[in-house]
Amino acid sequence: MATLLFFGRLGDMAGGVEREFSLPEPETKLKTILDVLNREDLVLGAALRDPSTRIAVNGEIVTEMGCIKDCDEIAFMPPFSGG
Amino acid sequence: MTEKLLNTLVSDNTALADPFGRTISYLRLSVTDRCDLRCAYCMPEKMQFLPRPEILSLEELETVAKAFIKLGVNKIRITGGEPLTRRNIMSLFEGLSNQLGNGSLGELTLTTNATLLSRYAQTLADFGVRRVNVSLDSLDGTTFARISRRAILPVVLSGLQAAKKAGLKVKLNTVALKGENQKEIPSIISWAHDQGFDITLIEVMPLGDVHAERSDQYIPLSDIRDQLEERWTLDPLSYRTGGPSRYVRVRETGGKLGFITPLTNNFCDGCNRVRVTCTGKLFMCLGQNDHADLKTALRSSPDADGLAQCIREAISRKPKGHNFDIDQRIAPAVARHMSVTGG
Amino acid sequence: MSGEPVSIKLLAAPFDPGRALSEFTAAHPDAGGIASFLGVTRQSGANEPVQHLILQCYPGVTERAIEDLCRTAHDQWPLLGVSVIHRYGTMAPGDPIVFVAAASIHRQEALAATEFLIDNLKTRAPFWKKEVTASGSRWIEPTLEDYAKTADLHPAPQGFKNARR
Repeated sequence: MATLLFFGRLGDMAGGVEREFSLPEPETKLKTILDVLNREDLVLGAALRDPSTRIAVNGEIVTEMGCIKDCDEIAFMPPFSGG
Repeated sequence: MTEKLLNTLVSDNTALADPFGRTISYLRLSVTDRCDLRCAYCMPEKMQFLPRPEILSLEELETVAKAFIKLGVNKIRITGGEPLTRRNIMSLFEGLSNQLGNGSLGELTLTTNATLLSRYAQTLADFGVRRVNVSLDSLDGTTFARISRRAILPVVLSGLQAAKKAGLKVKLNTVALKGENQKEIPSIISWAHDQGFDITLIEVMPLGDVHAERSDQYIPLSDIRDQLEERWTLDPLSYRTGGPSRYVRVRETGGKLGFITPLTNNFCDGCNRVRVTCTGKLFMCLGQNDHADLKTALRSSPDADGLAQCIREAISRKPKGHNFDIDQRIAPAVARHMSVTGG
Repeated sequence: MSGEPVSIKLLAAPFDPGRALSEFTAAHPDAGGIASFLGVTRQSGANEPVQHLILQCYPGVTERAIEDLCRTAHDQWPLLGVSVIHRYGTMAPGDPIVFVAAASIHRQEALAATEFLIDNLKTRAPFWKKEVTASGSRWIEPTLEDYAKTADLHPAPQGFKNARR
């Protein structure tokens, strides 16, 4: 299982901030996870793939689509609005 | 510099929200550890009822409830053990009904085994309770007696009728128990829907749980669902992306059927739930191991602010391993990401 | 990076900005200049009054991002210390959201560092704001102006305040 986090408006689109995701393989490509999410919900899928959405794996922003393992945490972050 | 020094203005009216911005709106408040039934899967193996001073008094329970309401909790569920066994428990409902009346509390509900509903259903309805969850695992007297170790199914059924008569909306919670009620489940569902009750099936924890009896009785709900789909059409409700739907409507009966598995608390539905035990321990449902002791705050500080502050600190606690409350030199650490607490 | 003083707090409940500033000042007796900034929850949104604001963060990651910014400030200017206090959770109009302060021997660095920190907090720290009004709620998106201020990664030259990028 991996944990998915959807921040900001992505949480509204995903139906919640946090969810568990059952990995099809012990090492699953991040791209595969995005494809699954996209198949289930095209609107969410498009938002996740938008260039303004940053993806972090275990707290580190990733710029390439690597592999996800059991207990990993993937965060989908729209543009920040703090301060 | 510590956080406490800076939190000099703690507004009573600031709602609780966790770091993910989810506001705490739902409190489960246990009022007793006692129950008039002895269902093996529920009672701990070495059941020791707590001595009286360990348990919060009814006044203290009301103070706790009001503190949470002030912090934004909108729904309170009274639980137990069996809450209706607590002496004078109606006085707590009366006290909380005032909060319903003035609009600060949106909903007051109850989970019960219905053994005492004949006595209390109307009073509960008068105090503003609209919905109750009733735990019921069998409609067969012998099976009921075997599971709960008391032969009082007729009392439970009267209780359910009293609830109906008082206008309370009933939802049944039925635990699927292999070798006990597995075959009965379709007829329990039919009966429930016929009575106008929604029903939710609950899966017992599989092997690996501490209680051996539970693991022997484990049936995956997916198996049960397969059986049901042979006879009925189950239309998913509240479709959620990326995971199993939790509720269905049975087309042939028109009633709602829910499936709850302990491992599939997948979705944080925007509502943070917290749980307070009858001894005043506060648990965040999403961080099961961490708890706060409200009893000490209640009994040591005379004013409500002490309790509110204790609740705030518990809700807002930082994830383990991160302590940035420093003003000295720190080495730039490779920070670990937070471990997300399970559903 | 060396271990210059950095103080970061993420708070769930309201804080007293006056007290924050006086404590920061007391912690840096050698400073010749203390600069600070306070961000406050607005009273009205785009069209209607704001009932409250919900600020979401990513615990652990948010603190680390703020720490990185503070370290960068220390790298760019000779500072005696920096402090960032940021709320999360629910805020009412008028509540302080963020407090930033910097201490230095001379005033230019403290002022520049403070501006740098607040500008970058808006775009580089993982926070998400939701405004709740009578007609509903909406997530706030950063403005182009917010991005423009930090798009250029070259820091202002040492000791010079406000070099326009």
